[in-house]
Amino acid sequence: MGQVIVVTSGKGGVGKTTTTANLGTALAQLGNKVVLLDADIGLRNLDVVMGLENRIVYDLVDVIEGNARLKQALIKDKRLDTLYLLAAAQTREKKDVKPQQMRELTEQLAREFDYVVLDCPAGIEDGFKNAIAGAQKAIIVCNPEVSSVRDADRVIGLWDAQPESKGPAMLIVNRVRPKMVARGDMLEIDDMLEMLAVDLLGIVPEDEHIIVSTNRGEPAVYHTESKAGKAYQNIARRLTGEQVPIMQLQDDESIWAKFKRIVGLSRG
Amino acid sequence: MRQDIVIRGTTRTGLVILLPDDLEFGVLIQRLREKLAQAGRFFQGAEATVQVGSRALSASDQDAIARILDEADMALRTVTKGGDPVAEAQAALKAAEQSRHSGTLPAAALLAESETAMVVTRTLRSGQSVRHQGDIIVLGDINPGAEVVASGHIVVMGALRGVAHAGCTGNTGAFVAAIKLRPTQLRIAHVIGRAPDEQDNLQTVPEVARVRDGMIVLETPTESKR
Ligand SMILES: Nc1ncnc2c1ncn2[C@@H]1O[C@H](COP(=O)(O)OP(=O)(O)OP(=O)(O)O)[C@@H](O)[C@H]1O
Ligand SMILES: [Mg+2]
Repeated sequence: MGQVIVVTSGKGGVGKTTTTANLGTALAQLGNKVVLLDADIGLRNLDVVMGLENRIVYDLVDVIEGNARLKQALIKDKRLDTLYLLAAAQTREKKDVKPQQMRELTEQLAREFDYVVLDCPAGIEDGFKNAIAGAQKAIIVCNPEVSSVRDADRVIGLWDAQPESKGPAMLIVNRVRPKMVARGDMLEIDDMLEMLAVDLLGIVPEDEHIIVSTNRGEPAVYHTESKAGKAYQNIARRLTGEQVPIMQLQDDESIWAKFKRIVGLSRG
Repeated sequence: MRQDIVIRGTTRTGLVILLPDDLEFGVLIQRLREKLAQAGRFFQGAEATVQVGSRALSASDQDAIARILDEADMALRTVTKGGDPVAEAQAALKAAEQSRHSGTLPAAALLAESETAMVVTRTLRSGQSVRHQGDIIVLGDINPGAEVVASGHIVVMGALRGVAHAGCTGNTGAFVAAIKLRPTQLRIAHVIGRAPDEQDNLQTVPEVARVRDGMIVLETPTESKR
């Protein structure tokens, strides 16, 4: 049985889709069989970021409603042949799917794939409940901003309160600006990690490559010079159980050394 | 059928005193006096709503009740009739008990009946709340957006960053203590204090918040002894 991992945040626009695309690609680059599932019904994005929009014939709702078989709806990635996407329905609504249906779907996918990665919609309503229903692990994406941290905390609380026993939530801090860290705004991140008190899976820097690669439909992990891409590759290795220090960026050594001290041994 | 006087606290309405229907008024008054005496200073400063059930109270009966409350240093807010709120209260309590498990107590849930301390052994995250009649001890943090409400004291063996309301039924002698006291807002009885907008000279020692001269002040545990 493969792992079902949901990528969620509460707050919108913090980098869930970016994380799903890059992490999924990185996991597939490591030789795993991976399927990405876009649970953001009505606001699908993941297909665009993956550059697969023009290949969608059937979507998640088609599968759930029995209009298509799972095999027909899975879209094979254009670069890696162990990577697949199940797209969200664009013309439907979140309430058209029920948590139990998502549970069944992810269970079915987990039988065939090593990793099932779900891109969760923003918010904590129906779409969120559907997305977390079948997941055993949660990756919480958060930006180093108070409102994002607040929402992350809320979501971690909801994740922990589920009746089924599931793995602990893991945190990715996205869009960290090394300059901000260097100026001594460090304290904020320090406090944030202390408050959220969950395992830190990784820190992803603010990186222009993300925007360029998003527009091109080619995840940043393909660009060797992208620091965010590198960070996502490290995160993928940590997820598979490898011990990887939190960040190794040559030119910012001193800054990232601080992180290493703070996050110490914590890893996903 | 209610046999005895029941005293309950709700955070919305303050204290509610429920009178049984079938006790003779003279006996009832005597019983109320005893009950409040037993409670000692617990209800001191509280405003109470008296729920009389199906009983019809004359103006002088009402005055008699008001006088007893006054003797106990309490104030009579209103007298209301009808309904048996005890059953509702119990249903709400049951729901509260169930959802305490999932960490989402309904905001209007009535307080638990027991007045012993309640121990919470986890961190309360944004959106979660705990309410209890009696004291609350938290072994963990109270994060911003989380809320703890107690009729007694609140002690947090961790960081208090959210909202805490001690003495919620009106006890101004209640305190809030935390290893790291950084609340968004503190309430003790009816007194409300909020974090200063500029957070300078933050203490790194455990602190206790109390009401002194009608204001919430922060003190070290040693200063706070009295
Ligand atoms: N590390 C980064 N550096 C620079 N830009 C980033 C980074 N991460 C995300 N972005 C940008 O932020 C925007 C939002 O990202 P994304 O769509 O992944 O967020 P989301 O959480 O999925 O949003 P939504 O809640 O709307 O689904 C995008 O324009 C993306 O390119
Ligand atoms: Mg998205």
